[in-house]
Amino acid sequence: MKLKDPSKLASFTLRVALAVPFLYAAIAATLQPEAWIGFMPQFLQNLLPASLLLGAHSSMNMILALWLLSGWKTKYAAALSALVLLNIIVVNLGALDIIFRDVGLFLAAVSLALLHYQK
Amino acid sequence: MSAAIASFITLTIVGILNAGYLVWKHYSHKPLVCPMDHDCSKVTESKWSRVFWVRNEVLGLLFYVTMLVAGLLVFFMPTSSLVTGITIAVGGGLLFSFFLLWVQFYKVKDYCFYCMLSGLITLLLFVNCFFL
Repeated sequence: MKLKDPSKLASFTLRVALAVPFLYAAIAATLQPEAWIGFMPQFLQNLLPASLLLGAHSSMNMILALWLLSGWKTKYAAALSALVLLNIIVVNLGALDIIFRDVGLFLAAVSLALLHYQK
Repeated sequence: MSAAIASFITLTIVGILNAGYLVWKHYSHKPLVCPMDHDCSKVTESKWSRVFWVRNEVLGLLFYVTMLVAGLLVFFMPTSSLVTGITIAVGGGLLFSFFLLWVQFYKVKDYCFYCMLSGLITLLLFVNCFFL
């Protein structure tokens, strides 16, 4: 099977690959907040209630997942995803054993942004 | 267990978006954009596009919405009979997906990317059921 434009399938696969973890994180953090609150930086927890922070983060993840799946202005959705993932990596560097896969997701987001850079 | 429920709900939402996209495209009379440079409408608009007078994508959408509600019920009111019921329902959905796969390859002699994706989501949901 030869594709005329493999970049379409690559873009779709990358969008799903990024959207599903965002969607899962939003749902899992809503169902079991106590398991996720530890990933929030302490200085933010000192400023705002933890439940509010987690709710905002879950909402943002959900919106980002839907934006990625919609295929609308993908380069911006991918760039924002890359920034969010980079932020997660930097803030949780001490827990690299848990977040090491986010490095791969971050690079996938960068690849998606590059794929759509000139579109 | 809550991780399994979260993944179950995630899969149902992806399924809703997938089936919802097909429903939206059909009823707004817009062409399907398939990521594999392929004309999915050969399958979605074939004579096999309806079962019992209901379009397959509408059935799929109803199935995923029902499973989303069922997944939420398992989280808030977990009972073994509910989990068994979900497993049987998803098993039925999986058999229907296999039937549609057979229709695509042996009757229509073509394939539809989103229909195959729906089958994959149902397969993952079925595996997920054993961890609920």
